[in-house]
Amino acid sequence: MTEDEDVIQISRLLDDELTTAEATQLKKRLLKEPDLRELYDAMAQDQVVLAELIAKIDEEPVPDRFSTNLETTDLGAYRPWAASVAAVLVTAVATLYVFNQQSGPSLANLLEHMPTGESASFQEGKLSIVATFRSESAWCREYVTNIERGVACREGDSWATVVKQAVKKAPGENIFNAAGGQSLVQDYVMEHIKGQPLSATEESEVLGKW
Amino acid sequence: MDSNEDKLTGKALNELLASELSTMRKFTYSLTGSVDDSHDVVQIAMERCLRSGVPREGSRSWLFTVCKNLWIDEIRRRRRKPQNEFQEDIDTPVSDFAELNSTEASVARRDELNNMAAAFSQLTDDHRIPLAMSAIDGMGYKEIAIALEIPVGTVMSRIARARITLNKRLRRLGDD
Repeated sequence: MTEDEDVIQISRLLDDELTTAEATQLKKRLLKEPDLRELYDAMAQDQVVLAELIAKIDEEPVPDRFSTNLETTDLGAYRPWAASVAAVLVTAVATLYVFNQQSGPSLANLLEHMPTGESASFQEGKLSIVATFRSESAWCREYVTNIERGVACREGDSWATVVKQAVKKAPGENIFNAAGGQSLVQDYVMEHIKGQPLSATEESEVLGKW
Repeated sequence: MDSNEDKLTGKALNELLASELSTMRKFTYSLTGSVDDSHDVVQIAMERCLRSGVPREGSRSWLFTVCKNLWIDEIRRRRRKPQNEFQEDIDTPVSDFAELNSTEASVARRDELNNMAAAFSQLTDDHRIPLAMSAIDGMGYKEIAIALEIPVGTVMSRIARARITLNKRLRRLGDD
């Protein structure tokens, strides 16, 4: 067997990809051939260290935005058939809230420039952008903060919240849920979205033009 | 064309993503060498999957494919980083890998991990990615082959080549 073939066999053994017969045969050789054993031991040790290195990220906290993303961007549920159901409800709860006037410019600035998926602090806590999409008449962005989930749309040079809902984090859960159970925000998106939420590339182009 | 019945969506997809989050973080960390970049890739991958659904068959492999393509074809390219993302960190002692290792009590252990980070970083994508996948939660060659869209035999040879290359580089680093 060539050296390359030995390396492949050892590699397959480490990955448990040999048949029982192949593994038995290789293990017999490892007992008889010191050089082969040395190579096996070295590669096995490398594998342990590599796994340890990669697993270091487990020591880092999981960003909240993942949790909110899983709950809010159930984008598979952006189904046209659900839009009619949501329409009346959303119209009833939709509010208009101009950030530039009541929340200060920092939040508007985040909506203006921050890519989807990123999080940043603003004066009322932390905000994550969930998605960017086109509605009937404006560009809109779904967002989540510590206390609410909402959709804001760009009107002129200002951002206005068109729907929002309080969120709560259930004890022991890692996912933010709409406080009222049903997600009014998601229903709003289903009702008003034209096409699909923007991809990262599409969003980057749009953000660059504002 | 895929029908909705062929795809995981809604609650089932949420559960898949939640259960694979740790694996996706490890994989993207091995791709990028950076905690922040890893999280960015996972975030966008999750959004894409939630937006379009995930094939029921081979759903786990699909997640890896999305992450890999996102990093190599879009994010890394957009940031105009070098072909080998890790290359720029090799001579820089403040890479994320190094930061993570800085709390290790044992200097020898820290050096071992730093050497691994440097050697692993120098592998080409073709070698580094399948090797990382094999090191993460015991992914099988077949699963890796599906994710990378290459034959199982190619996976086998690339991982073996990656291992021997890695070992030679580690020996050199150990001698320095």
